[in-house]
Amino acid sequence: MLIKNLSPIDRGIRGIVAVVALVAALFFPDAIGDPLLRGILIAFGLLNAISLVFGNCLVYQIAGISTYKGANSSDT
Amino acid sequence: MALQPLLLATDSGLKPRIIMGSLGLAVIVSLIFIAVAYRLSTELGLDVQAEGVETRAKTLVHSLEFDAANHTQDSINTSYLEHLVAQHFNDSSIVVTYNGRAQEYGQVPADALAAKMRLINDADASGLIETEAQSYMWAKAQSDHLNLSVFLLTPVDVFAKGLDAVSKRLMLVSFITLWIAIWGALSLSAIISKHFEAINKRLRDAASRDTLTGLYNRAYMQEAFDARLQMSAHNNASVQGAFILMGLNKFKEINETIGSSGADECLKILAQKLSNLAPTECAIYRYGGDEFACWTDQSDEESIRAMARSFVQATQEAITVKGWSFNLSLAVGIALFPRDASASKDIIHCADIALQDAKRSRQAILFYNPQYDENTQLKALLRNQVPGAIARADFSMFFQPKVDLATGAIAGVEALARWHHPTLGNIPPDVFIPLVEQGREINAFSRLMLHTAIRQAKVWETAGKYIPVAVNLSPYNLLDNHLVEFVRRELEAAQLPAELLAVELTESATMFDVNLAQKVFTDFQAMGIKISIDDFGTGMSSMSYLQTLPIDCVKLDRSFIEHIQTNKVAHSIVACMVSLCHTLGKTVVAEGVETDSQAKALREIGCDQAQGYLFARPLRVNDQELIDWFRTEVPAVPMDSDIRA
Repeated sequence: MLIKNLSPIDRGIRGIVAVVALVAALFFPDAIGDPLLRGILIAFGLLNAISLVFGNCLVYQIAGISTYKGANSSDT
Repeated sequence: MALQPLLLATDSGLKPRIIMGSLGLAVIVSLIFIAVAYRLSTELGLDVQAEGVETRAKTLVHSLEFDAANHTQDSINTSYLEHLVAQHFNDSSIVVTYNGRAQEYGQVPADALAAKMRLINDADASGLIETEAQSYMWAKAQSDHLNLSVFLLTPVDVFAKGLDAVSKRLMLVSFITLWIAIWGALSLSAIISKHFEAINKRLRDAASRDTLTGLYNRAYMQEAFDARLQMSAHNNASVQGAFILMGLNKFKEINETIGSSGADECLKILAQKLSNLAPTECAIYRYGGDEFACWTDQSDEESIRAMARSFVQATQEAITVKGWSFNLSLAVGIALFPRDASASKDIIHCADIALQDAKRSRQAILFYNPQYDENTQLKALLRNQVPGAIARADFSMFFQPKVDLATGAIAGVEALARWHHPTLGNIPPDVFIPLVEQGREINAFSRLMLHTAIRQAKVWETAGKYIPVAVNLSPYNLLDNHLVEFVRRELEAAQLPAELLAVELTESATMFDVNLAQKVFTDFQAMGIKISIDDFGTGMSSMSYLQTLPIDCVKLDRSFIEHIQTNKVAHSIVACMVSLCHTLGKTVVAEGVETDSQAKALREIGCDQAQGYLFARPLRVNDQELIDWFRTEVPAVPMDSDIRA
């Protein structure tokens, strides 16, 4: 179960990062050059996109920290 | 000296610190990697560029050679050279040295640059010159068959375009590495610290709580209390309240009746009841064994007493354990803070004293009274002084006559010691003997008594008075393996016939170990010493002792003599005992005879001897009264410590 633990700013940052990474990787492969790097970028972008959509960062959840200031129970 | 709290502590600082530490480590590692990677790629780029410049210089040389060969001349074609420079080397400076003459082409290097160029070592083939504005790469090349050497100087861009693709990738990788390192550190450290915190909490809980009842235990209570005191001292507030200590009466009996697991069950039930009763802000702690403690902030004695009463009443409901239904009875000791004590240890001590006294006096609830402590302290003080007193023999021996009831003449004396205390005066045996026994000095003391009594009896014997002297022994003397030997030696040394020595043991003393008593008594009897049982009739096995122990004389306890005139039952009992003892061939002595009528009644019953204030109180040897009894004056043997063990 994923709990919301991202504040809107946090989500926004992750969204921008996701967009930049995915666009760069998918539409400018030559600028990147290295296929391995491209793959990493795509994965990176996808992770951040997921964080944006679900409002949850898995690492935050494991660490028990939250930037979300709402009414949900987070374990500390 | 305040100890750091162990059980009250929390791990609140642990988790953030682990996380920060791991993050810091991750960032440092990533930065090191990034820095090294950049330097590496920069160096690589420069190497590649150096190679390029060298190649260009060599190409120029070969072009000139080729041209010279083609035109079959031994000199270089300067116009061709200029053409080459203009075409291919227009960004560089070139110095061509032919046949010893140097000629510059291309851009003229600035003065600073020129200066640096002169520093160039002849051995190197290429190198890097850096000025503030621009970096330059230089290379030298020589011709093999023409006397020709070329020096080429080209400006370079350290972060050259060729480096672009590499540096871009490098930046991306650095960024992603940093990101992964941070997230990795965060997750790992969070998991680890959570694990630690959970374990620590469980350990603390286990250490703070009593496993049987689930209540907080003594260690936790101590810490909580100390913390409370520290905090109020810190805030300049004062703490007021009462410390309540509760214990079960007769817990040992309960344990023996229903076994220890049943007793545990009892304690659990009691703990439950007490916790339910206590107001929420007063926690019940298990102090240990069968004792529970509680602190309340109230300082009004009445309300505290009411609370204690509610506890006591709660325990009076019958409980059923292991099929047994019985009532518990609670004793409560209360000490007020800070009236009775101002340190946590002391207040608990006061409550403990109050509790012990409550149990002893069969009272349910008792507040601490400083006087109790004084008595205990006084006793402790005396106890410590006992060995010194015995060593210095601060005692004197008194003798109380035993009178033959028929003739009224003295039949024997009982030796009694008095302790001459410097500040407290004369302390009678019934007070100091228990202290001597507790201090385990009883053997030394009894030997002192025996030694002195034997010598005094000898003095009387020498004066022609054959009056036996009786010495009191304590049950602990029965444990002395060398007692019989000691007595034998003393009798020999004093040359006193054994019949003039008697020993008296109280009945409760002989209950100690019948077999042991039997052995010691038999030995004494074999020597000829007379044996008496004191306070007869008050113990539980009088009759069986009469049967098993070699007794010569029975001393009836004063409680029977006291009521002999007023209580028909007492009279009958005494008559019976006298008759019984006579049938068994034992002499009977009545203790505590104080009135003539008592003496008369005893005479009628047929009692042999009597002892008591009616006849004489304990007297010194040189008291006129004793001299009258003996009808002769003898010197007193002092109690001295010069005896062989």
